[in-house]
Parts: sequence; structure tokens; C-alpha cells
Amino acid sequence: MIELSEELLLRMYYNMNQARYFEEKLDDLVAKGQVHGTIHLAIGQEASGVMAALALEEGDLVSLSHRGHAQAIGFGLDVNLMMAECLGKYTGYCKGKGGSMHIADVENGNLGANGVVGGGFNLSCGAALTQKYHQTGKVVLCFAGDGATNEGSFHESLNLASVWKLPVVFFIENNQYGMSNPVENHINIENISDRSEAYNIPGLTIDGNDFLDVYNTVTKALRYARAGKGPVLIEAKTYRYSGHSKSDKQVYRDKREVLEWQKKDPLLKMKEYLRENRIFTEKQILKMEDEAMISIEQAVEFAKKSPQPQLNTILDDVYA
Amino acid sequence: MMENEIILPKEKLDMAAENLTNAATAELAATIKEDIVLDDEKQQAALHEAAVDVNAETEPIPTEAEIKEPAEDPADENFEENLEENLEEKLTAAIEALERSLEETIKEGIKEPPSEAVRGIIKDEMMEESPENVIEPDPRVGKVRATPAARRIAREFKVEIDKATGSGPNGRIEADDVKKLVVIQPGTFGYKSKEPVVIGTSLDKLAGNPSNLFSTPVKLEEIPEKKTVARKKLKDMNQKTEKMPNPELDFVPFVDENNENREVKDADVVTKVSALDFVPFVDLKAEPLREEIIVKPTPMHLLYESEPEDLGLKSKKSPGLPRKNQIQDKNETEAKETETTDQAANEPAVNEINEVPEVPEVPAVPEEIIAEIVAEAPQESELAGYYEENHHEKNPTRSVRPKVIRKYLVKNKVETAVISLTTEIDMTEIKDLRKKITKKIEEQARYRCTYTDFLLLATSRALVKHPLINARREDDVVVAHTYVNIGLTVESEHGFIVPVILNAQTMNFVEIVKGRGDLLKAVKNKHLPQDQLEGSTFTITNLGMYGIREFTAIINQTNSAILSVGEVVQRIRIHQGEPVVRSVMKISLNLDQRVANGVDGAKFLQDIKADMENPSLLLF
Amino acid sequence: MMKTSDMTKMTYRNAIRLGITEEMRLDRDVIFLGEDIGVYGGAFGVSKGLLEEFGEERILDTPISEGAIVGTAVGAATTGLRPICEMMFMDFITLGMDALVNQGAKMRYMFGGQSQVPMVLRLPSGSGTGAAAQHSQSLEAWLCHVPGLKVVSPSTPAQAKGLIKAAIRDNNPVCFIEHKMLYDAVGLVPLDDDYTLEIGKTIVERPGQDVTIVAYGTTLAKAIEAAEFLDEEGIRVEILNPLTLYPMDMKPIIESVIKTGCLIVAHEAAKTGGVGGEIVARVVESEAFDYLTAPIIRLGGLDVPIPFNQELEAAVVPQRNDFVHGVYRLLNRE
Repeated sequence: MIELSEELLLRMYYNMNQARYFEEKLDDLVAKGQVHGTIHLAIGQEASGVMAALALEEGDLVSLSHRGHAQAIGFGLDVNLMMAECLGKYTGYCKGKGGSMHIADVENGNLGANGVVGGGFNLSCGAALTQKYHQTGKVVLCFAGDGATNEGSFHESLNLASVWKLPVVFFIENNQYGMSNPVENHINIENISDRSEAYNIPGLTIDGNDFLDVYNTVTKALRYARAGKGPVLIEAKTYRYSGHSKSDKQVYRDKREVLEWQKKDPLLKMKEYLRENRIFTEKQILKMEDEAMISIEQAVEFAKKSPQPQLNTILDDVYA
Repeated sequence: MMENEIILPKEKLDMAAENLTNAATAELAATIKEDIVLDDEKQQAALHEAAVDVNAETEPIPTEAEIKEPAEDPADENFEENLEENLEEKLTAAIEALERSLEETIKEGIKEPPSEAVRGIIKDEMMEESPENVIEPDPRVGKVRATPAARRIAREFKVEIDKATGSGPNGRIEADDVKKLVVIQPGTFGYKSKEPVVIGTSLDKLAGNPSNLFSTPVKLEEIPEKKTVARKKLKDMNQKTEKMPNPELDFVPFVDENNENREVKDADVVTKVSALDFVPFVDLKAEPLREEIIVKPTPMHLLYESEPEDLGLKSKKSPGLPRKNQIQDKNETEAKETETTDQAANEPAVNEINEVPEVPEVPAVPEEIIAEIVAEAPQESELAGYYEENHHEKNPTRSVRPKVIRKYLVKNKVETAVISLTTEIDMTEIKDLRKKITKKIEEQARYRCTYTDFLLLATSRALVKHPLINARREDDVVVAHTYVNIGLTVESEHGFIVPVILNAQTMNFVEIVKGRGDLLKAVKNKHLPQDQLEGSTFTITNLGMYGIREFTAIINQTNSAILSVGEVVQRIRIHQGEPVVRSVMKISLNLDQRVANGVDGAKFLQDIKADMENPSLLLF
Repeated sequence: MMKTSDMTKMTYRNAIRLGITEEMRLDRDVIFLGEDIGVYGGAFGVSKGLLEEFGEERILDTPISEGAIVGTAVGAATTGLRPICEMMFMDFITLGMDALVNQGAKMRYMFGGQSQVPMVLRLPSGSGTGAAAQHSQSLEAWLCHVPGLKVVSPSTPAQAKGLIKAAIRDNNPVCFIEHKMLYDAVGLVPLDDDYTLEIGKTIVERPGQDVTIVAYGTTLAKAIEAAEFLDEEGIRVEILNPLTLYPMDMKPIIESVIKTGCLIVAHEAAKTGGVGGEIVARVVESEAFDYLTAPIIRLGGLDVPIPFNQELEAAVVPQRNDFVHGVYRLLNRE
């Protein structure tokens, strides 16, 4: 069984709140026209994103999906730099060249959010191959959405990872929609994890809105992969309240459906858990929420004050 | 589709076709009918050819289908007989009729016959669609078809490219076609379009400036001889390139007939001088003396008489030596004569020059004679230049110590008198420097500084180093000056005059600017003092302001050389390994080679060039 | 300058293998991925014997999943290895294009210089083997359209060795295009294990002054043949080999065109949208335009898929006589 310390729970709740505020703030900035380009929000998916990344050990690697803010915050990226990157500033993680879709911190093992659906699977295999080759004992956690599992690269990489027993955990956030297409319209099986059987690897389906479920499962899966037994496929069922991107009017779904899922909101669920188990006082919980909000406000402040990238950096870093 | 078809706008074409069918074609068609009925293939071919020829000269013809069409008429069997004899006549008649009809067509319908440009385009392989499809007027009309290289040359030499006749496919104007148009008119100032000897400095070698190296572009010579058409053509092309020792002009401009002769002569001069450069002039004994003031005895009196006509100089007599000196000279010559048989050549009258045996090498003059002349010389020089005495007063420490260095005979003075050396100077540095300092200089000197000032300074410095260029020849002797009086050719009411900047060797840049400004001002106001009117030791002449790129001038009386300055122009040059636009200027030195040889001149130019290309050094 | 004693005659195939072997010995981070490269020794025998020396750990036989090969290589390269991967045929790069173009090539720039992708993609290209349309293409122009990639194309065994070593040492994704018809070409190869050729340098294969020909791959050999033929007629052809197709070193080409005024650009790939068009465009954009004495000629493959029949196949790509006629046309000899 997995032990949860108070400190860990505090970090979980704080990070989940950060992720929520981060995305809400970003949505707000987009609405005000202060963000150039698009962003992909994952409001409602905080439990799966943050918890899965939090389960990683020091030195483990992660590859994010295009809807990766919560995952990045769970992995421990600095919200200041993330916000700066989202606003295209030079102080951002990618010096303003990547934007919201390509937030990366390669040195610390974040192989980057990937704008191509399914683009991260093979990269994760490669990163896992390096870990295996160098015998580092580290595992790669690969985030992807339900839509990505229909890409050839999903199957190619599952097959390769299975054959080569690569230390990689594929974590699929099934948020019920591939952009606008409901999951039942594009996948003809109940659980995406069933696809693991074809490659003879373990496949698990969990409640993506239950932070404990996510944390426990991913921790176990990481242990399995770390032991050299090969990859694991995890499907976390969750829901995104926001549209696919800023241009999404959400005509494809019923408002009531969203309200239904909001009752199972991962933040509410965790708050209830903390209250029920009397781990934190109401005051402490409120303080955590406030702190998270303040950190995001500060991040926005930081990002807005940050300098734009110089035009003369435009040719930098094409080649090493 | 016929090859010779002419493409015209549709309406014109229609009109032409109409007329054709109405009038002339009747007869032509008849002839053709007969022809075809006869089933004589040869005749048909001949007819066809004729028809095509006619059309090639004038206007569109009916297509083959049209010609054949009437023949398919079955009612023409009557023509079967007597046709062979009549055929030729009929054909001629038909052709004449056709021509008439076409003339009418042209008069009535087509007011403007197709221009040369259109004719050139006609064969264009791109235009393979039938004329009926051409609705828009041909976009090529009035346009010139030329290669980019041809256009560049036309641009650089200000030639109108449309005057060129295209020799390439489809009448395309090629680089060579434009080159034929480039003509350099001989100027009024003794300008000679000739191939200069290109001289470079060691700096050029470092900077990798290929246009200034001692090289002649003869790279294509190595191609082995083979008798193919292309070979011949290629060889023709190569000949053109071989002619051009000056890479600046990538080809030899066409030169007018009159100048042609002179050019040949000049070329001869150059070769001879280069051959002579090291042989007769070098005197081992004299070599160490070079650093001192040097006097060369030259058989001046031989040259003097014939000079005006041959060199094109005015017959006005120069302020020559007093009679006494000439006698002394003669004595001197006689004295030498006793020692060396060579000197006998000097004695005969001027008219008998040709009889003088040619002596390639002159043995060293015996010591005693040297001593004799040395003893005589100061006195001689004092007597010699009346203007020179002034300078002696100013600078008493200076004394002219003539020494006999070498003697040589001039068999044909015209051939060997003047050599011409040209070099190109990169003016970019000076241009930049001038921009920076012009304000300051103006404050100090009250005149704006020009490129000429830089050149004056560089020249005066170089003249100090090369006294032979800064020398005066007087009959048998050459007197090298230790002061530098630079004459500048200036246009005035009385034609060209040569006012002098005195003692330029002592001047710094500001003084030069001031000196030149004062001089020109004096010329303009006609207040030129007598001592500045003549007495130059060296002359600079500048035609750059008239857009003359390069020229050579006639040496001023009593000078040994003249420097001709061309226009400063922008050219692409390899600078530090990169092709960049640089400002360049050409200077030519015309040198009396009886006074100094080509190497002296080359070194002199080299020094000027080095100074000019590092102008900041000039200011100190 | 290498002494001849330090060189040995060897085929193009063996030169590549030698280069890879040397680099794998020097750097343990170099691994080799591909289909059937282990026991089988690679479809063209390039990796023969490598498995015995380096073992299964470093010579990785992959499933037939080109996407996975390239993607895995990109991931491994980002995290510290230096993978070489082999596409059995260049045509199959289509299946690995996402990993190469969207991931590998862009990663460094997209992440603001945080990462580097030191990988080599070996791509056997070209027609002549009778493998028909899906196994004979030359798709280098696609790759030359992606900033972040480097594309090299050696034409001789020595170049092959020098470039494969340089490519392995390069910290960028390098597409190493090897022509199938050159595998058996023999030439002198330096044995020095430090011998590399700088990526991004165009070389003059043959100096001349009448016409400039730019060619790479097999067309280079045909151009040289043509040049030798034209030599006898007194026409000196200057042949340049770009070696690195992207980013290409244009300076020697522009200088050569200024010298000759005539340019022929040749490649086996389809003419439309080929690398040749880019070379020509850059020449015309440059100062060299003013020195052109004739229209530029591009010799490229016909705009058709490569046919199977041997004669048809040969007719699709430029041959020696095309060069000769091209030169004649430029010099107005036809």
C-alpha cells in the first residue's frame, strides 16, 4: 500500500489548485486577447494530470500531451516560467519560441509538451531506451489523450516497448472527447486499456477524477516498469469542462453533461477527502487555495513584466 | 507548323489570309492543283519551297492544309496537259501576284511591318502554338532578348543594348555582341586607348586583389587544338580574351582606326622596355649610388630635334641650356668617345641616327670620366635651370651632385622614348577618411580637401623616394631634383596651363590642401605669381571629372614623367576574399625612359598606391 | 594531406561500415537501430559484422515500424544517446516523417535551445536497381525543406566515410543519403579514424572555366564522364559537388558561375520542386546573375514515378549525354 504523508497531500492539493487557477487565469487572458495564439485547457483533468506526474521519482522523465499544463505543474515546473512562455516572453521555458503547446524542461527530464497528437509515444520509447541502455533505473511517463491511441505511433511504440521491455508507462487521459468527437465514436471498445492485451502488457482503467486512485496506480505502474518488466498502459477516465481550444464553441455536447461531470470535480473530491479525514483544518485548506491563487497572480505579473524576445534571437537554436 | 511562320496579331493575320484567298491564291492554287494532279513529287516540293521562301520574306502563308485543299477538288482534270513547260512561268507569276497582294495587304491592313525585334522572335521555340491562338499582342514586341551578362556590360559601358545584333539562339544578344558596340573615342587630350601595363603592389598580393597582380589572363591558351566547329568558335572567343591584359575591362574595346597604329606602337614600346628593363640600364657600379642624387647622361641632343613632331609636342623651345653648356656637353661627349667606341654614335648629326649601330649593353664608363663629369656637374647644374637657383637659395644645404651612371644609345627615339604604366588604386579607404576629416581640414585650410590632395601628398612623398622620376633632362644629363614642385594641369582661358605647387615635399596634408586651393584660386583670379607659372619637376593631370577612366598624357617639357589620373568609380573587387563594391581609380604614369626605366616607374607607382590605400599614414 | 599509404581501396558500402564501426568504437553512446541490420546485415549489407562486434545491446533489430525507429531515435538522442538509424529504403521515410520533421528537426528551436538531437538517419535512395516506384525514389528535396535537419549526400567511398563520421559527431539530426547504385563503387578511403568531412561545404570535384555543373549522387559520376568527353573537344567543365544539400554552401557555386557564366544543375530526383531549383534560384538571386551568359539548365528526373523496365528506368534520370547536350546548348553549339 502507498503511504501518504501530510506534506504530500498538501503538495497534491496545492498543485491541483495551482493547475486549476493557472488554466482559469489563462482562459481569462485569452478572453481579454492578451495571449497570442491558442491554448489547450484541461480544466477538470487536474487529478489525472497532476497526480500522475507527482507519482514520479526524482530523475524520472516525462513526455506531456498538448493539453499539458496540469501535467507540467504536477511534474514541478515553475508556474512563473510557464506563464511567461504562454505569453511568449523571453523568460519563458522556451524563450518565447514554443508557447503553451511546447513547454519543456529537458534538463530536468521534461521532454516537452507535444503539439502532435501521438507524437510523444515514440519519443518516450527512445528516452526509455536511453534509461535502459545506461541502466539509470529511471522510468519515462508518457502522457497522451484518448484520441492519440488511434494513431499508428501508439501501436508502434507499445509494440516496440513491449518487445524491448522498455521502462515506460503510457498514461492515457480519456477525457471523453477527441477534440469534438465523443470517444464512443472513434473507439469501439469500452476501455482503451484493453488494447494492452494485444501487446501482452498490463493495462489498467481507473477513475481519473479520483486523486488517490491515480496516484496509487501510477506509483505501482512505475515500480513495475522500473523493475524491468516492461511498459504499462493506464487509462484514466476524466472530463474536460473547457473547450478543445480557444476557438471551441462546444456545440458538440450538452451543457447538462458538463454539469453532471462537475459534480465529480477532482478538486471537490479531494477537498471532501481532506475534510472527512480531518487532515487539514478548513482554514488550512482555504489558505492553500489562496496561496495557489496568489502564486498564479504573481506568475502573470512576472510574465507581463518579462521582456519580449529580441528579434535577433530568431535565427538562434535552429542547429546545435 | 512551319518554321518560318510569322506571328501577328489575329486581326492582321485574318486580313492577310482573306486577301490571300481572294486574290492571289486563286492563281497559286491553280498552279498547285496542276502540280498535284501531275503527281510530280519533285515539282511539288520545289513549289512548296518557293512558297515558303516567299513567305519567309514577307508574310504568312496558307498552311499546308490550305494549299492542298483545292487540290482535292475532283474537277481539275483539264489541267493535266502542257503543264510541265508552263509550270515555272506560272509559278513565278503566282509568286509575283502573291507578293503584290501582300504588299497591298501591308499598305491597307497592316500599317507597321514587323520590326526587327519581331523577326528575331519569330523562331522562338516557345511560340509553338498556332497563330490563331494568339489573341493578345506578343509581349516580346519592343523587348530586347539578352543574357544577364550582356545587360551588365551594356549597363557598365553605357551602351544601348537594343543596338546590338543578337548572335545567340533566337536572336538573343550575348555578351560578345554588346562588347562589339563598346567604342572608346579618342579624347582631345592625347588620350590613347591602349592596353596599359598593370602593376600591383605586394599589398595587393596579400589582399588577394587579382586585378592588380602581374598577371595576364591567358588561361585559355592551354586548350589543345582540335578541329571541331566548337573548337574554332571557342578559339575565336579566346582570342578576344587573350587581348586583354587588363582584367578590369574584361575585353578589348574597339579602337578607332587612327588610334590603332599608335596602339601597336605603344604595345611595342611596352614590350621593348620590359625587355630592356634589366639589361642596358643596370650598371653594377652605379647601383649603390641609387640612394643618392643621380644624374644620368643621356644623348638628349639626338632626340631633341625630332621630338616635337614625333611626340606631338609643341615646337616651342624649352628653356634650354645656354650655348656654353652645350659646348661643354660636346666636349664631354668627345672625351668619352675616345674611351668607348659606343659613344661614337652620339656624334653624328641628328639626321643620321639610323646609321648608329645598336649597342645593347654599354660597358661602365671609366672612372676618370666619371670624375671629370662629377667635377663639372655642380657648375653645370647651376647654370642649367634658371628657376632652380631660387630653390638653391631657399635650401642652401642641397646641392646637385651629378654622377655618370649609364649611357645608352637611342636608335629610334619614338619607339623607346615614353613608356606608360598603369595601376589601379582602391580609393575606398580614402573616401571614408575624407568624409571623416573634411570638416576639420576645412577649418584649418579654408578649402575643402579632395582626392587630388591625397594624391599630391602621396606623390610628393613617392617623388622624394624616387628622384629619377622627379628629374629634369638636359641634353646629355639628367638632373634629379631634391625638391618637389608638382605641376597641376588646369584649364584656363589660355588653354591648359601648369601652375606649380612649390616645395611640396615639405608640406603636410593641410598645407597641401591650402597650397592647392590657393593655386587654383590664383589661376581663377589671374594672380598667379611668375614662379608658380612654370618650373614643375613633375606633373599631375586629372581628367576624372570628365568621366575619363584612364588615359595617358604627354610629358611636360623638362619633366621626366607625368601622372594621369582617372575617374573614381565603383567596381566589384575581391576584398579580403569577398566580392564587394569598392571605389577605385586608375592612375597612369608616362615616363621618359631615357631618364628612368620601367622598374623605377613601377616602384614609384607602387609607393603611391601603398600610401593611397593606407591613407591614414599620409596624415602623419 | 593524407598519405596514400594511409588509404586503402574499398567500396562505398564498406566505407560507410568502416565509418560507423570506428565511431561506435570511439563512443559508447552510439547505437544503431534498423530493420534487419543484425544477423542479416542490413538489406544492402552495410551493417554486416557489426552485431558480432558490438552485440545486441548496440545493434538493435527493430520491428518493421519506421515511425517507431525514427521516433525512438529522436527520443534516445534527446536523452543522451547518439543513435544511427537505417531506413531500409529512403522511400519509407514517409512512415517516419512525423518523428523526423515535427519532432527531431524542431525540438531544439521549439524548446528555445534546451535540447539537441544528435542522430543520423541513413537513407538508401535512388533508382537503377529495378525496384520500381516505391523503392527507388530520391526524396531529398522534402528533407531540404525542413529547417533543423541537415542533409548530406556523399558520392565517393572517401566522402561516405568522412561524412558518416561527421554526421555521427554532429549534434543535429543528419539525413545521410546514400545512393544504392554507389554501394559497389570503389575508391581510396583514408584509414585514419579521425578523418571527417566538414558538413556544410561544397567542393570542387573538377576545375574548369567554361561551364559549371553542380551534381551529387550518381549524377556526379555521369557529369564527370561528360566532362571527360567534353575535355577532348576543348571544353573545360567545372564540376561542383554540394555534399551537404541542406544547409547548402552556395559560395563556391556562385563564384564558379561568375567565372563561367553557364550553369547546369543535375540530380536524379524529380525535376519539379527538386533541390536543383533551389540552387538555381539562389544563383539567380546572387551577384552571379549578372554574369550569366545563357539560361540555366536543370537536369532532373522526369516527373513520373520510377518505372520498372530497365530501359524506361534509365530514361527517367539524367544520363551522360544529357550533360553533353546541355553543355553544347549553353555554349551555342547545337
